[in-house]
This record gives sequence, C-alpha cells and structure tokens, in this order.
Amino acid sequence: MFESFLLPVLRVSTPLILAALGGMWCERSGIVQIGLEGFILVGSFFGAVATLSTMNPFTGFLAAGLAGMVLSVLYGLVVLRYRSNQIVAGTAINLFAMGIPPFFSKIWYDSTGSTPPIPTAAQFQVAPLWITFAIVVLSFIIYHYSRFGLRLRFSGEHPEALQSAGVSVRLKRWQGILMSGFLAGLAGGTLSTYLSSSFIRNMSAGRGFIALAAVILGKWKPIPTVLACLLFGATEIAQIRLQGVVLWGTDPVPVQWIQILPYFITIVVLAGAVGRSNSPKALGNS
Amino acid sequence: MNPSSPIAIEFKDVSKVFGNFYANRKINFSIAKGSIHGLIGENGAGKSTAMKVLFGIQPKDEGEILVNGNLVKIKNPIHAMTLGIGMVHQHFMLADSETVLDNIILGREPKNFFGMIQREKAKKELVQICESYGLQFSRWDTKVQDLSVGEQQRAEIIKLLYQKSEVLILDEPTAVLTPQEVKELFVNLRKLKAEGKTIVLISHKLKEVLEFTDSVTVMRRGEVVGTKVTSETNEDELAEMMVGRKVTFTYQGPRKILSNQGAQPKPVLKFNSNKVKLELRPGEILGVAGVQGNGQTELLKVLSNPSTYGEKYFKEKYDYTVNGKEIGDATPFDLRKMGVGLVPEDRLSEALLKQQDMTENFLLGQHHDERYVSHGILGKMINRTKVRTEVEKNIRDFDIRPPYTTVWAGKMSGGNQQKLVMARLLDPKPSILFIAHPTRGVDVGAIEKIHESIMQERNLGKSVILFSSELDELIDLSDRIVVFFDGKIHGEFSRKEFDPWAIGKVMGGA
Amino acid sequence: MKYLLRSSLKSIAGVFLGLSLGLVVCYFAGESPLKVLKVLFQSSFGSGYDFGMTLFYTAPLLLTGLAVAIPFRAGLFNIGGEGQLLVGALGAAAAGVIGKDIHSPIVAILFATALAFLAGGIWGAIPGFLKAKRGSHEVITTIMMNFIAAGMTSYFTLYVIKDPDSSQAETIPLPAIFHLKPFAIFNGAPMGELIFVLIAIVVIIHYWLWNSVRGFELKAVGENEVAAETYGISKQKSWIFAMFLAGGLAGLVGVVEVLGNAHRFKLGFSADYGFVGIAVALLARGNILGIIPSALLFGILQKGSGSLDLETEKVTRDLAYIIQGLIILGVAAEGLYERKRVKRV
Repeated sequence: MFESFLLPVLRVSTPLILAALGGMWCERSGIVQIGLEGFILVGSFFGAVATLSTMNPFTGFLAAGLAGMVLSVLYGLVVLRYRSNQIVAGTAINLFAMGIPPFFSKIWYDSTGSTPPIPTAAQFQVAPLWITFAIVVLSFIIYHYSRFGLRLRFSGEHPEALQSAGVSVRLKRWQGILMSGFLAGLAGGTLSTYLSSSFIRNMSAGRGFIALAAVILGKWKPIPTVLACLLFGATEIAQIRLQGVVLWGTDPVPVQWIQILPYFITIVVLAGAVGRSNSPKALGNS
Repeated sequence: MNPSSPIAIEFKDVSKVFGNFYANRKINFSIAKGSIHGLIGENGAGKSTAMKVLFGIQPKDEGEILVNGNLVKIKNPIHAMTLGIGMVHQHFMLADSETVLDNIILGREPKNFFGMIQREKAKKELVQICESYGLQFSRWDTKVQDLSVGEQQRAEIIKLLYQKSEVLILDEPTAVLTPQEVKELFVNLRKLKAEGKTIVLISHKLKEVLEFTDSVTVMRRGEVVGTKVTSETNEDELAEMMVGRKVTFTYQGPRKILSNQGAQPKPVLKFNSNKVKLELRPGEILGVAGVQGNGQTELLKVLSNPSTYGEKYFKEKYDYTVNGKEIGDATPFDLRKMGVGLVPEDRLSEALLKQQDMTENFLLGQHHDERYVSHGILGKMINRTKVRTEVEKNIRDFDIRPPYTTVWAGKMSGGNQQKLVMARLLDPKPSILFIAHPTRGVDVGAIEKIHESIMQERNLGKSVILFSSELDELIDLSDRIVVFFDGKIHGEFSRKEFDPWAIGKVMGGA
Repeated sequence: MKYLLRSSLKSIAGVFLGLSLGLVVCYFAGESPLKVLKVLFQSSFGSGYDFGMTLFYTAPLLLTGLAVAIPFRAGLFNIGGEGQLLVGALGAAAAGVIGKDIHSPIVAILFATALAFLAGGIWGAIPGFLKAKRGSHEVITTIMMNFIAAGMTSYFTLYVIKDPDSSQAETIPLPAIFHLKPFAIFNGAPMGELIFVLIAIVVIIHYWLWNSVRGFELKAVGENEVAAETYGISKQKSWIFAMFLAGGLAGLVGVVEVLGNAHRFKLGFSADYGFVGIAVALLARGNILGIIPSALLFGILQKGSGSLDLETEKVTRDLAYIIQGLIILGVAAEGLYERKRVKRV
C-alpha cells in the first residue's frame, strides 16, 4: 500500500503542496496570486539548469526557489508599486514565464525548450519529501504561533487595523509575494529534479492552478490546504493507475474524467459559498 | 468645569476645509483630564471631523491642538497613539475571523527569541488590565465574529488600554448597542474615568450625554456653539444649541394652502407593517426625521425597491399601496410607471455613475422610457440625441455647472450632482416623490435651488416623502413630520406644532 | 475625447515598453534587435500567404478580445476565454457529425456557427450564473472551467467523435459543405471573407454596447452595482448575459479554426488565444473598436515569431510569450503613467 500508492501520492503532491503554501501566504497577505503557474515553470527550468551545472540537486533546488522569487519581484513591483490589476498582472506573469525556459534553453543547450537529462548521480532520492514536510510544519507554526504570521494574516484580513497598529501593510504584502515566488519556485524544482530528470516544455502543466484551487479548498489555512493537495495528488495517481482499467461496464474509465476532478470539486465548493466567506476579507482590494 | 483640573486636549481655532466647504470652522474647546466629555451635534455638524483631526486621520488646515499642554502636530493615527490618544471607531477595527486576543495585541505582541507570540503572557497582562479597571471580559480565545456587538466594543476599549491610551475617543458608541449594553458601557466608562482616563464621547443622543458626561461641547454646522458643564445645563438648552433657532436657509417662496386640509383626504400612499404605519396625503410634504440608524433607511429602501429589499428589511408581512393599488414586490421600474420617483440617500454610491457623463447619468433608470428608446433590429436602442437635448434643457433650468453634457458626474460638485439627480427625478413627471437628504454636502446656492424645486412640486399637487437629517430643512419644507426612533414611528407633528426642541427630544427617544 | 486620447497614449506607451524590453532581451541573447524586428515584420507581411496567416492568427484574437472586454463592461473578469473557445470549437466539429445530412452550404455553416456560439455561450454562462446566484468569484471559476473544458474536449475527441482513420488526436472531419473557402491571394493561408465578418462583429458590438438599452445596463452594473440596482437594473441578469455573450463569441473561434482551417477539432490547436485575448482587451482599454488594431498587433507577434526559429540563431518563437507578457505588464501598470504617485497602503 505504502510503496504502491501512498508514496507515489506523497511524491506527486510535493510540488502542489509547496506551490499551494506559497499561494496561501501571498493571498493571506491580501494579494491575489494567479501567477503560481509561472513561478513553477521558471523554478523547474532553473532548478534543472543549476543541477546540471553544479551536479548537486540541492543547489538546483535552491536555484529553483530563487528563480521563482526573482519573477515574483517583477509581480510585486507591478502590483504593489505600479498598482496594476492583480489578475491581469498574474496572467501576464504566466505568459511571460512561458517564454523564459525556451529562451535560455536555446542559448545554453540549443534546444527549443528542454534541458538535457540530469545524470542519476545528481538526482534527488527522497530529500524533497523531507524538505516539503519541514516546510509544512514550519508553515503551520508560523501561521498559528508567530508574530510574523499574525501580522501577515491581518494584512489580508483587516489592513486598516494592521496599519493603525503601526505595522506596514505594504511590507507584509511584499513578504507574502516573495514567499509565494520562492515556494512555487521550489515546487518547480521538485518537478524537474525529483519527479523527473530533466526540464521539458510546459512542465508545470496547470499545477499552479491546481495549487490555487487547493488554497481555496483549504480555506487559506496550512493544514487543510496540504490535505487538499494530497487529495489532488491522489487523483493524479488514480488517473495513472486507472488507465485502461475497467471499473464498470465494458469500457475503461476515461482518464479525462479523473483529470478534471480537482477543478470540478473546486467549482462545486465555490458554488457552495465556502470560497467566498473564508477568503481573506481584503483579498485583491488594493 | 473645574478650572484647576489639568487639560488633556485643547483645540485652538482649528479648521478643516474640504474644497470650499468648512467641515470645521475655527473650533475652540478643551477637555479636562480624567473627565467624560461629550461632543454632540447633528449628523454632519463636524464632530467626527474634529476627532479625525485629533486622531491624525485627517490633517487640519488651520489652528493648533494641544495635548497635555504641549503643542503637537499629529501626523497619523500611530503618532496619535504614542501621544496616548486612542479611538474606538464606529466601524470596529477588528478582524472578524481572528481571535479577540490576537486582535488586541496586534502590533504589540510579546514574543520570544524565535519570534513566537507569547499568548499566555499577553493574556495575563490583559487579565490584569481588566482587573485594575474593573472590566468584565474573559473570551480571549473567541473569534471576534462570535462576540456580541457590545463585547466587540469592550474588546476595542481593552485594546486601547493595552496600548496605554490615556484619552479614549468613542465615536457614537451607543449607536449599535442594546439598552442593556449601553448601561454596561457607561458603567465601564465611569470605572475608567475613576482610574484617571479621559473619555471623549461623540454622540447625538442628548439623553445619554446628559446622563453620563461631565462636560459637553455642542457643534453645529462645523462650528462650536458652546461648551457647558453637564450638571448646569438641561435637555432644552442643549437641543436649542444643537438644532439652532435661526434657520439659515429659509424657503421664501409661496406655499400653497392644501385645499383638502381639515377634511380626510384619501392618501396616495399607504404603508402598513407592524412597526411602521405611514400614510402620504395628496399634495403634502411628509418629513421623516430621526437619528441615523433608527429605521428610516430601511423604510426608504422598501418603499423604493420592494423587490430587492422587501423581504430583507421587513420579514413580517407588510401592506403597501400606491393610489390604492397593491405594490407587492414591485421593481423600481414598476414603481416608476406608477408615477413614483426617487432621490436615494447616498448620492455617490446609490445615485450616480461617477465615471460617466451627465447624459449617461440622466439615463440611469430612464433607459427604458419610451421617449428615449427606439426599437431596431438590434433590440431596444437609446436615442442619445433626444436625451442630450433634454439634459441641455435641464442644465439651463437647474443651472447645473459646468453646463456641458459631457462632464463626468464624479467631477462635478456635490450641489451640481444633486441638481442633476433632481432633474432626473422630475424628468418623467412623477406624482409621488421619495427624496432623501437632498442637501447633504451641498453648497448654499444649490440648497436654495433644490428646496425651491421640491416646493414647486408640492405646490403642483405632488406628494413628497422627505427624509433628512437636517431638522431645519424638514421644518422649513414639511407639512407634517414623523419621527423615527428604534425602528418605529415615535412621534408625529403637524406643521403648526413644529418645534425643533420638541422634535429633537422625540428623536432622542423621549 | 481627451480621455480616449490619454488612454490610447497609455496603450501605445505600454506596447512600446513591452516591445523594447523584449528586444533588449534579444540583444542580451546575442541577437540583433533590428534583425528580430525585421523578421517579425517580414514574416507577417512578406507575402500574400504571410499576411493571410497573420489574419488567421488575428481572427481568434478579435473574438477572445471581445470575450474579455464585454464582461469587463459589467465588472467581470473573464479568464475563461480559452475554455469557452475549446468548447465552441468542439461544438463546431460536432455540427459536422450531427448535421451530416445538411445539403446547403449556408445552412451548414450557420448551423455550425450557431452550435459553436451556443456551446461557448453556455460554457461562459455557467460562471456568470454561479457569480450571480452564489457569489462565486468568476476569476477562479473561469480558470477552473478552462481545465474542465480541456479535459472534456479531449474526452470527446478521443472517445466520442474520434476520427477512426487518423492516428492523431482529432475528430471526424467535417463534410466539405461545412468548409469555408480561403481567399486565393493568400496562397493557401486559411482565411477568407470571415475576417470581414469578424471585423463587422466587432464594429456591431461596439455600436450595440454604446447604443442599446442592454449595453447601457451592462455599463451601469459595471460602473456602480448599487446605483444600478437602486434604479432597477438586475446585476444578476446583466452578469449572466454578459458571460453568455462572451462565451459565445469565444466559441466562434471554433468557426475560424474548425470550418476555416483544420475542418475538424484537433487537440491543442489553440495558441493560447484565450489568454492573449486578455492582453488584446487590456490594450484596447475598454474601447471595443480598439480591439481591432490590438488583435492585429498580437496576430503579427504570433505569426512573426513563428519565423524566429528558422531565421535567427539565438531566439525562438517563444519570444512572443515574453513580449506579450511584458506588453500586458507595461499597459497594466497604472502607476507608471502618473506624474505624482498616490500614496497607498
């Protein structure tokens, strides 16, 4: 059971968990984050690149986080400093990010959007699982017990109260955005250095949006968000396992039905009014 | 006031101007340390502005403010807090989904070496604060949304004490409380006072001010009318100061005698619920007075848009007829067809499209009017040339400025916006008019023009329900006034009984 | 007028900024920006075929641009153009199966168009309905609907109306009666009279939004929900209607692709038209007619960048994404164009 199902679920959930926690922190600070997809993409590319050039997956992993964070600086500048609409800017970041890996892969590897394979010696074994676990625990502690977490939450919940308590709302929002960039970048890192052994085109494949769905499903709280990610991870594994399997009738279950499950669940939950009442009150109002 | 007691706060010739409107004009008063000081006046009298200036939310334009005898320039709320000034806003500064404890300690959280909040330590401190001021509170770990409004307010007060505020400003603290909660609040405020805190109570309820304060400053139309020692004044005197005897902008034009006065005319509008019974007679202006939040807003919404607000505000059955016809849950369009017109309470949020020009705003609500609509292959189309001609005519009639149809509503002055709203109201020639706060935030010239056109409609035999927080205005224009208190009609005055003091008392619940 | 001028200046500045930054990036990659510009230009206008292809890329953007701009009038953000166009295209492809007995080309094409519009429209109306009745945020629901659309169309393509004679993921081809004829001067580029029809649609919608009662209501709801409601306009109806219209128009991309080009539904045919549509609408800044030049610009970028793979050493067609992203950021960053920055929390 563990080897055949639980472990694979945990493995495919790691990028979702990392990205979702990033998204959670950002949205908790009051900034809508639909750019996760882009951060994941650049993270996975630069993660692979750095691993290849240093032959050390840990360097690659860190590079992935930093790459996501650099892109999030651009997002933060446009949104916080130049007051762009957050949804428009997030969409732009996603488009922009799609152009980055091919651009550099052409220069560095003369390829139109993938990296050479990472040698086995430089691949991760289980480290990202543990790192993710540590980040989950840390997120939980910071969210509930630290001063930083409290203030960041207020920045999304009641910015006027935070400001009038003498704390800069803008700073908290910058921190939220940077955390989302870093964590989603790490999520990308797990894709290219842990779940597979190279970067391939459009590797993020919608995970940023699934992560966002998990944040909503998890009511913007760390543990429920992680659980939602595990649920989505399980559907991903189920989808692979059920390929060609006949469950009822004579035909196998179409994988597409399982693929759309996370999105479908999210809409149903949103329509059940859960999404609205639990979102940070000041989300997107800046 | 005891002259020997030290002064906590002093206002010296402080003015605050918005555009060319004085929200505060050279106000002077001082607040003694360790006292409960009332600041009273009608809506828009400038009380809140004065306190916002003191709390650093808005910068003053002229004058000086002294805190504990020192001249200070209060830059922002945080600065005010370091000076020991704290404020409980009408809308609480509490995040609903967080615990009371977290809300209170925000910004001053005790933390350990790792940045973790020491909640137990904070709680101990709060318990101690409550003990020393005799406040009852123990629901620290409850989320704010699960507290009653009274408890939330107490949490806000504890927050100020935790922040070591010496002067506590409370903006209309009783507006949202039940009578029991009000009683508790004042018991607590007295305890705070006994511990040496200074309390400023912003209110427009005479009774509570008389009962609970040591001294009181009365404001009216942005100016301080006077400061009294509470024990040496009485309700009549304060009412007179608050409302003022002299009506500044009296309507001078003709007032047609109602032909059917004395006889029992058939009402043109009837509204009957178990709380509110209202009849509008033909050709009269019925004034609706009352302190904000006593049920007038709900009545206006239901009268003007029963389809949206009927169930929301009047859960029990109500009976609503216009010209003898049952209204049920009609839409504003249905009402419009029956000759009912509306000027909503809040011009900017309810009546105008700020980023659209006069033509578009004139169309709002009239965009189905057969005069302005033609039918084409693409459906109902608007004939803007016709609308524009009509707007131009109204610009002349109402003297709207700037006199261009292409001006954005948001760029016009309050008075001109209101003239536009009035012009739109009268365009379909309604016979029943609901007009709310027609002169709020409006300059003198426009007030006259607006009053004139309301009277003109009345003299033409139209019936008007006039909602206003300006008692002067109601007394000046109305034929009859009903006073709301606590969701009900608490008193009724016919024109010959009009008396600002008497009406003011009923507004306060007497 | 002054407002219009100022906002178009902002758009032009945004395009300029995005494009120059994109070219600067090329420079750092070791590619001459001038050469990149030349390739972009030549590849889009160099021949009849090239221009035809540019228009072929422009056509869907006209529609997806409208699909963003119309709901925006009513205060909604439609990120769901991509899903709506997929479902619409599937509808057009299905028209060939359902209507295989139709003999008149006009009926056939109208039938397929209606199906594409309806399919996309219903797909768009769902988030509109959820917003109106349940308050679900349309941004999230439309994003989710995009993925569901991708899964669903893939299912239909692979299982329900799959072309048994093809090894590709594509549906049964449409009978010839459904095909739209391209102009001969385009030398095989799949674009004909349709482009004029689409431009006419943009013009009509511009006229209609400005002059119709319904258009006024959408505007009023988008501008001030409360005031609109006070004066009797139903925001719920306006939202559902705007999203239906938007989805339907996005669905018409199916006509461009399925009737005009591939004559079947091919998985992955869309070059992110739905998302680029956001950029198109944004660049047009609420002016519907502005969608025409704006769509053309992004069409050029799409077509021109295709040649970068072959014509240049260091950059690829994906440069288009970088430039698109930068243009959106350049246009959206309101604060860039204000002389005095307002201090914000």
